[in-house]
Amino acid sequence: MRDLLTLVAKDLRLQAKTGELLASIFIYSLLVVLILSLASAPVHGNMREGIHVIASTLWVALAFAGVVGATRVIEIERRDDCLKSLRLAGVSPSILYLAKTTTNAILLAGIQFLTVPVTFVFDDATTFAIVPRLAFVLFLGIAGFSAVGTVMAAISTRAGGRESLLSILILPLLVPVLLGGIEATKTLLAEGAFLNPNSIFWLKLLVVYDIVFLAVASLVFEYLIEE
Amino acid sequence: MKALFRSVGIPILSILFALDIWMIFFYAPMEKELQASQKIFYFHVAAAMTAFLAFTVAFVCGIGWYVRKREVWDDVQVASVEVGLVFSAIVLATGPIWARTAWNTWWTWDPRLVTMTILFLCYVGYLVVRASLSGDARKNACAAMAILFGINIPITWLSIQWWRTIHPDIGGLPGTRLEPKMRIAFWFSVLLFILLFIPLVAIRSRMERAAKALRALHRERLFGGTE
Amino acid sequence: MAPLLLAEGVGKDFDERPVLDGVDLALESGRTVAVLGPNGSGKTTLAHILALLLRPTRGHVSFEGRAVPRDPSVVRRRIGFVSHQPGLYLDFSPLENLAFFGRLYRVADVASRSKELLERFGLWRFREEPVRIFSRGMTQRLILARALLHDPALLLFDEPFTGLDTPGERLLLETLDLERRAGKAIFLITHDVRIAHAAATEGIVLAASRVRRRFKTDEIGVDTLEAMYRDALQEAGCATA
Repeated sequence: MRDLLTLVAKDLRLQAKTGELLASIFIYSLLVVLILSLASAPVHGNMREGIHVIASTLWVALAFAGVVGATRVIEIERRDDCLKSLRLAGVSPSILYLAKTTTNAILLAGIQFLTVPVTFVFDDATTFAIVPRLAFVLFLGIAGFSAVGTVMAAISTRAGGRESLLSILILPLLVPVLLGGIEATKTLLAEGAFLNPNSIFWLKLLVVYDIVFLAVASLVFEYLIEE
Repeated sequence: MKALFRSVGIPILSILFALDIWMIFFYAPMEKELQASQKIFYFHVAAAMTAFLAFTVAFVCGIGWYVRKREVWDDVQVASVEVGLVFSAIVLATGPIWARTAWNTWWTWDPRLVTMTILFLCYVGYLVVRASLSGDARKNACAAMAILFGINIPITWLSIQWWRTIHPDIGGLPGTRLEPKMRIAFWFSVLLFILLFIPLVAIRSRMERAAKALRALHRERLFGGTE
Repeated sequence: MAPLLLAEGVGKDFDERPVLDGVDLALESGRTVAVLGPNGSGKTTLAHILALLLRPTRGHVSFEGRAVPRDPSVVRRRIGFVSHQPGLYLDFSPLENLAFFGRLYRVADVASRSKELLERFGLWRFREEPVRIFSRGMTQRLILARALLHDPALLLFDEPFTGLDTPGERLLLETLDLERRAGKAIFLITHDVRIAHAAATEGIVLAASRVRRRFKTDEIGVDTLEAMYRDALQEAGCATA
């Protein structure tokens, strides 16, 4: 537990120092939001369609940011063989996995914190009361993206690939998260709460998915960082 | 084993496939609405079930590799994934052909179509990673992917079914209520595909083992022996 | 008394090919074991196995008389390892790097320990600068400082002289001597016969995956060792260095 905090604090400090990562992912997400909003501009004015656009824009932006973020967070350790130093220092692989996932999630949350308001402005959202609930759904999505992204990035960076390889590995794997997230966000935007059983159901799916992948990935991670 | 398969296996499989085609076209009655187009279903669904079986075998092999690090787990794993991909390709090719006549469209967001496409993409990613790694790193990474993608099989399958039950725009595949003769022909096809799957995996695993031995010999020559 | 680290019949395969075979080695407190060998002889693989980073394909490794547990994290903390790559965060300063690793190693007083080491290796002046701007030799000095940070019982140094200038080399030789006298067990990989003779109490010659010779430095001179090394390489079918 102590190691977990030390590792996350180190990652955040490293990010704060360079700042390059957060800025580049943020601009990247912003462009995704802009392009998607632009592409769907003609359907604006139609309430149902508008909700559809906001929900998908938010999640597609998250998906892209997730791919870039996970690669970079793992690359920090691969570069200059810091991974070996961490293993020598007795950091257990599961703790390292959880630390990397946490860093990843914090970064993604930071990005979303900036992206969501922009999306609201671009796509004329009017319901700000739902923000806490929206944050909750996005949190579940971020957890899923970080859990799967971290373990798959350990594989893709090992294989010498970067974002393009990672995206073909994780996007199919994350279809349930994307589906669940978009559906839950849509009902939230339409009804302002998770009233109907459908959205509750999607939330449950997200929670189960997050837990299952966190557990399994923290077990297999050991084998992915060995030499 | 190879000789046995050549002399006995291939003739038997050929006869059984001829029998299967006879059963499909002459033994099973014609479907009233879909007419002859329904015949594709015997191959289509059988291939789909075999593909799922193949990916499940790969999943089990992934766990097997971590529990007992024997080469055979890795050999059978890659064999299952590749054969599974071939069967998925059959599914993805026959699906649209049938959909064109039945639903009058090549592609539709039918749940099972999506499931199969996602699985197909996942395991294509598996092969990409496999091609760019070697040694233990490759075996560890592949086992991790076989496990993580394997977990995703039921989740994806179910989530997409849930997704459609919430938006019941398109019904399920017709033909769930089969006439007895149709059912016999159908299960015969399924069993026959699985019967074809087993030798294919066996042959492919032997190829993998031979490839590994060949590479070892090559290295031996390159670096000199150690007596 | 059992040696600190004992390797018996250790071997490792990569891609079905043995890169190391049948190595017996004991590392004891107050002794420095040198490993001489050409490129590709399996030296680095051996170091990784002794650092408990790689599991051997064959053979057995024990630490303080006990077999290495399945999760070797705790035992690894007793080891200081210097490898070819920095293993440091280049965007951090020396102080930040040492503070981070000090926390992981649970070093009681990181600040004073860091100061002591950075002064010993002549890096105190650069303590706040990012490691990225360091020269190869300066980085190597910091790598050494990090390896000694937690006062490990066992030191595994894989070509630690790489990139060091003459004063740096002298400093490292002094450090090795100091640590050995303080009761550390030291394992030193080098391809330089002169350094092996100066720094070690004993050693092995590794060539084509196997131990070819064993020697004690107080029994033979540098020239004899040099000749022995050449013979061993010829015998193993390696091109002479």
